[in-house]
Amino acid sequence: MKALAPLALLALLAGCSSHSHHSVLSQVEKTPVQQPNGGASTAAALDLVSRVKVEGFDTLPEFHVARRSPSMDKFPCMKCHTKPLAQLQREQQGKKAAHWEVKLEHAPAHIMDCATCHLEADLDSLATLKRNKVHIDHAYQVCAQCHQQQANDWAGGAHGKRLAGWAPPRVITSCAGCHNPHKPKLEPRLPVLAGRSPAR
Amino acid sequence: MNTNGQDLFPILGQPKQSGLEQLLNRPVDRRTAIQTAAAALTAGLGLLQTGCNPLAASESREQAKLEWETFFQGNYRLMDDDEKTSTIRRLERSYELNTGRKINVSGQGPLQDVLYGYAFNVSKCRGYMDCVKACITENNQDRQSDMRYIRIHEMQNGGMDFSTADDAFFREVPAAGHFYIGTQCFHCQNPPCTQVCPVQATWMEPDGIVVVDYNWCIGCRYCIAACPYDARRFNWADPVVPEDELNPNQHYLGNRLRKKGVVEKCTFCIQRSRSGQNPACVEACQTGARIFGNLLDPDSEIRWILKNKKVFRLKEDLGTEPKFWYFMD
Repeated sequence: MKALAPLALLALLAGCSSHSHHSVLSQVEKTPVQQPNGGASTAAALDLVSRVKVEGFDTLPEFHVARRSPSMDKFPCMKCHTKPLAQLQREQQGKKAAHWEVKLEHAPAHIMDCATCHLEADLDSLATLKRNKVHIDHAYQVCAQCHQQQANDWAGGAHGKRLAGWAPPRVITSCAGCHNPHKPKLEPRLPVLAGRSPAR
Repeated sequence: MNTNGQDLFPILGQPKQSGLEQLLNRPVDRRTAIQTAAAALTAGLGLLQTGCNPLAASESREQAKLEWETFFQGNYRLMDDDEKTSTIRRLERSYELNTGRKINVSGQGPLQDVLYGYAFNVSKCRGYMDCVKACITENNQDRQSDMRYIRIHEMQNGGMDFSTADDAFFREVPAAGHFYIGTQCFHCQNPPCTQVCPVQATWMEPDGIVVVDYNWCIGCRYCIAACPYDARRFNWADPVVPEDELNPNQHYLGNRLRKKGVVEKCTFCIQRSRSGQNPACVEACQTGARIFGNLLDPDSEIRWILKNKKVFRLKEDLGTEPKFWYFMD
């Protein structure tokens, strides 16, 4: 038996070397593509989705973000903000504030206030840190100033949600589609009861 | 073989009579005769009753014909297009005759130049279980045995030990000091499960989806033993899906109703993915932890992740080449 052991080991090694192993990724890179994505498309499902082309990620193929402004009930802000902000604030004193539900829980007060993202001179617009106007549908450009890692992942596809399916065209939700910009942290919750309740 | 052996194991000997002759010529005692007569009377009455109702008679005749044809149905992979179509029509009609409701079974084949891949962001999963619920509903999984293709494992920070993970957690999530990781069928490019099937009832489709022909499966469960990832499930009893919760949009190799004694598993929601949609788990995930796409499309999200994130797979050393990668932010 002892004499056979090295032989068995040799046979095992030979077996390993004869089995050539190809990783799926090396296969993928070698596969020629004739009809990209087999012609599959989610265009019909995205027909009613209002969207804009994402700007500022030029190394990536074109993709779109779902617009938020059409579904925002308080937009455009100029519906109410007809007077300068300071005057409105003076007049509102003692009354219930219009944005009573907004409590900024995003970053410490010494880092961030309303004006960090909102442009006081034009309340319909957001602003970069250098006070450049940003349309509300391109709000990701404001978020991306601090959250660069998340923005890159979002643009590439590792963060956020895509609409309709895997097939092109690529339309993704904006940052505020999932995160409340005034309170971006997700709260803990109970898991859904999938199927029957847990055994315990 | 000697005469004694033939007496002991008559079945091994050459049959001298046809099956019918054997049945007719078998010795019948008084008790058996009465039992048989009673059974024949019941059957006869039943036949008479259906005979008086011409509609029911034609429907039950049709049902019997469908069952007869289904009994002799071959392996789905060996069928030509006509056979596939008639097999699917038979399935739809049979369901309609049984329940009075219609289902829509697709036999859509793989898309050209598509190889499906999946990525799971361990940093993002918060244990909400929305994916599990969506999967159960979408794929008509057995409610009685609480079958789930997806498992979400609650892991203690500091390690990744599946043997001590909690798969049945129910508390506010994410729980402090824990993280969550999901497993399901990884649709290995080198799948061990398909190789052990003695009847070739399970195989990998050209688009990389590992499927089961539920009609051809003999329920030996070799594939379950061969899978290193605990991805396959067995129907120990007839699956129960409430009629009002049934998903009528089905695929022959996917979420059509299974029966007792067959193996089933995740199919990347073949009924959805082959028409460009995401699997139900991907769509249901509220945190965006699940990403699905075409590995052969260099512009796909999954390819971006494989190129730009540090990814890993489970038990990579086995050489199974799962098309399911994990990564972290």
